[in-house]
Amino acid sequence: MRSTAITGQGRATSASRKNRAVKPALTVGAVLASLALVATGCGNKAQAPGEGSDYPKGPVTVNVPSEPGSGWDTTARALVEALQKEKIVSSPLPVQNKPGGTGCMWMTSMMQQEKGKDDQIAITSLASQTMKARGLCEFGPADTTLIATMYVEDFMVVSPDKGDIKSVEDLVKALKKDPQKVTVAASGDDTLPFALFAKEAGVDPADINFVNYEGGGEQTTAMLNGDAKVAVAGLSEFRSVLESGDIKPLVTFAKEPLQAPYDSVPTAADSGYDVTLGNWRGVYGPADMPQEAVDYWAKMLEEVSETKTWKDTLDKNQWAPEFLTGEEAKKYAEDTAATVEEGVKETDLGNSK
Amino acid sequence: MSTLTPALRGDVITGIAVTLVGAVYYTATFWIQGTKNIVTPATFPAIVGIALIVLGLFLLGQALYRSRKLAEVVPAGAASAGSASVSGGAASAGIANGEASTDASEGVVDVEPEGIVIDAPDEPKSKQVVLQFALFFIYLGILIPVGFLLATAAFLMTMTSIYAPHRWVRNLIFSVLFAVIIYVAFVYGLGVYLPVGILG
Amino acid sequence: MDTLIDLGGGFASALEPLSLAFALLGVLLGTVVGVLPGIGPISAIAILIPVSFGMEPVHGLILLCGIYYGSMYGGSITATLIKTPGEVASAVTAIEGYEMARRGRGKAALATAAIGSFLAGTLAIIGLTFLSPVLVKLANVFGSTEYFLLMATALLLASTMSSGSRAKALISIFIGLAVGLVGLDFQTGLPRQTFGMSLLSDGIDFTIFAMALFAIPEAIRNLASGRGAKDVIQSFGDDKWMTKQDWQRSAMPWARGSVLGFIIGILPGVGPSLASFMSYIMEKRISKRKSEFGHGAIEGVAGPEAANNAGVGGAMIPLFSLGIPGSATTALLLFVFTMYGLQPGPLIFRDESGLIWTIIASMYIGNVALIILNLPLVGVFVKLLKMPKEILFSSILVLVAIGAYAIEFSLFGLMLLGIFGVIGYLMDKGGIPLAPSILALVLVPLLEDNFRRMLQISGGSFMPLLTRPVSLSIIVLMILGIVGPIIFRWWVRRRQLLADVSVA
Repeated sequence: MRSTAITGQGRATSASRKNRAVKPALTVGAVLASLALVATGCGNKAQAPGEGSDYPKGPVTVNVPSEPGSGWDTTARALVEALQKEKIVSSPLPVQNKPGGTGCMWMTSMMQQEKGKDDQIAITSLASQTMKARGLCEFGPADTTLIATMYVEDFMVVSPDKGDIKSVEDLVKALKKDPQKVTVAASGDDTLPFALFAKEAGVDPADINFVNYEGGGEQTTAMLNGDAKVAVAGLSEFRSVLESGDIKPLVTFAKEPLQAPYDSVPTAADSGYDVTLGNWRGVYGPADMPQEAVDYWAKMLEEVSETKTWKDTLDKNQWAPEFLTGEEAKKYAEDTAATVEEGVKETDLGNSK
Repeated sequence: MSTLTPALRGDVITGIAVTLVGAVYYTATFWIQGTKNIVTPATFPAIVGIALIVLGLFLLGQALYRSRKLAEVVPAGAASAGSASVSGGAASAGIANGEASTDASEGVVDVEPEGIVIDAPDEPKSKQVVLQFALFFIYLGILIPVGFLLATAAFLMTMTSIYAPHRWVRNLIFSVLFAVIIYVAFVYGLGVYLPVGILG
Repeated sequence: MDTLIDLGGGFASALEPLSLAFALLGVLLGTVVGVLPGIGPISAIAILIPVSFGMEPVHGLILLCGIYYGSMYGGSITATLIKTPGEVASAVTAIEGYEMARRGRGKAALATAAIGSFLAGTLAIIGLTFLSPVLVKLANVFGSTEYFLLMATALLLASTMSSGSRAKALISIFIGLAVGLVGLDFQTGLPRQTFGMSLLSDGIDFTIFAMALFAIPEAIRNLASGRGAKDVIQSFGDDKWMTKQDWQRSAMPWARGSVLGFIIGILPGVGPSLASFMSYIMEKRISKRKSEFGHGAIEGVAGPEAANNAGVGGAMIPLFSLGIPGSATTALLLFVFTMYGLQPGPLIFRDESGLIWTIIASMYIGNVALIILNLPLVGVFVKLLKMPKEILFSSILVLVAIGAYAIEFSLFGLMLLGIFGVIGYLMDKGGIPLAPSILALVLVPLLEDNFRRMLQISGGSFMPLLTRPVSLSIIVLMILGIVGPIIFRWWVRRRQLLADVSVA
């Protein structure tokens, strides 16, 4: 006990000695720091949004609400590449990944923390609408400042070449026999079109055994190693393995038959299952984004949608153009949101998880 | 309790802290929304919380047990004398080195590889550590509102001057130069925009 | 033979002066960028992608491959010299590398890292060249069951990473798991352990966690310890190049790390980071100098660095042949490939053979460029340690703050950094090792997702663990690994006892 006390005292002494020596330097630092603090009071915020007609004044961040390499990420980077290559926007457009909750995390930030800012735009899609419809996210694309829709990517159901499910009829048969055995690899809310399809085919969507994977790559491995019997995702996720023949297309939920080489893939509607749903991608800004910024981006995105670079990108990825801005975009988003909501309700998806 | 050696007292505190963290973490799982899945989103967090509680209690129990053993073998007050029973020996090795951790269960002898041996920095005084952390937090707090350049220069000046007050000229030059060079490198070299703050 | 001809064609185009220049430039840029904390390979590539778009596909890809290699090595430099890992893989290097640097062996640490990376990188590319078609099948026997088992095994092994109390190592692992589970659940998108803070729903970034745990406590401790006998962390004059003994001690870890890294790298989703951790654990387990681990064992740098680079080569196999990225960085490379109109997948070697062989050839060249550039620079980098202590460590605090800012761009990210710095300091004070936490944080999503997938697929049954051949083999190996040493020890002790008895 005693020794502790002595040590304690010794400590105090040496500390106070040091304090004295440190003083002048501390003062310098303190003065600098307090100067800085005082100055903050009258200063503006970090990365203040631009004012006046010279918008955009600084860099505009293009936010990707998911991991690098994901669908949203690809959209954002392709879009930024086209905007800059065609010299439509000259300010820096840093692409930032803000993954979390199938985009909900970032959408919530755009509604709250980033509210009213003009230096943030983000990518969204059908998945965000499903999130809202399922009650997993407070906000949907229709709540934000939706600037434009860019394109639609059609959903496709695929199966491994070596599996026993060879056609859409096989799939329905297998689902009816024992839905638990037909594991469906799906990423996030790509489950929705499949659930609608199951319902049309007379199978309770709640019985479908969905297994969650991150993106087409993981889904493909899951099918090749036998974990999943079929997978559902946007067409571009499977392009390479489809070309090699390791994976076969079964059915698509596109409005019209796809372009070659997938023109022979039956659409669900043609096969007698009335499900039409595409994964649209769009660009949105924070809630209460200044009108000037909204107009600017609507104009720039329209310009880019007509460039060769962008059209090539769409072709390469089998994306169907669907460019809408303003009220049209809003209406489009509201219409799909209604379909999704109805689908989620009907297919019991909201409660099955 | 008076027989608790520093190393064992450290274990007691660590054990209690870990148990508490585990308890808070476990409690937080009650707020996770339930689902119909076979493994719910709450399953893993709950396992982790319970494991932390169990491990914390284990550490606590182990430390108390060892201290009692130590008290039995070595008379109180001479605990650091060294030679002890098999179970106590491990603990006293830790004390002899004056380390907070017991490198003990394997009975490691500190074999240094060749080359000059640098002493680990003396265990700093907790007041100093708290001060350094406080200054670091102030820096983190003002970085965005004040801006990178000013905040960094001020922070570096403070930190270096606490340590070497007589070399304030060098400290000042270094602080300003370092802030400017890093700023230029990030903003113009990499396109990573650091906060401008009041200079913007 | 076709492979050789194709590769020759690849070399022909990669060895053009301009391609060569881009390889060197890429490595240089990558090293410089990788040295900055918080700017790991992912950010380096993401930042420099726009630069490469204006170029010919061949040149752009060569540049990016160089950046990738360079930034990986850059991360090792900061991990070794200032204990500030920029990414997962170099977190392992920070353990022994920094201890070596503190003992005036920084040059040897950086040299063994550079040479190990080079050898392993080259071996892995050779593997990639000739074994791709065979090894890609490995990915197909690894289902969620096997992944779950692999992750669980890795975590169990991680408890042996540090010397000292096993209970404390386990606490470290569970702290890592606890931190890793914060955020939105991937399977259902529901928030977990966020304590009502929506900002936490993003989860806690690995780099922030690793920087906070490793760099901040070390810097604060040094700054707070006052003017002691040592004002620089080492006297540079005594720093020696790798000695003969260093070479001997590094050789086997390089070889083992290369093989291990390559194999683990092939498994999609796991990538090089796990490889380097596993290599460290393996080296420690089989080393005759176990007690040196944690105090600057060169094997603990040589093995993981080799494993890391071999892992990168391995990760290219699923990337090229299946289009499956093995890590976030390869996901970004995948994106770059598609931007060039290259569709990675089974057909890439047929349809795009010219380009793909050029990339592979440029990886060879990038590797050579890496060692040519960096070996002479080792001495320069090590001089960093000659800086006065207060300047070095206060700069480190600034750099980690920038790193955290460059990841989150928010006060919240900065505060997370500070808070985990305090936690790291307290853990260290309580004798809880830090490295296992970091591995646990990386592995927890894979562990949990695959566990849940396994049960989802089997309908709640654990039987797949025993009925799938690969999974069963892993379990048998695990049991042997756990029970084997116990029996062995028991046997040794028994023999000793018998010997004692007979002496008496």
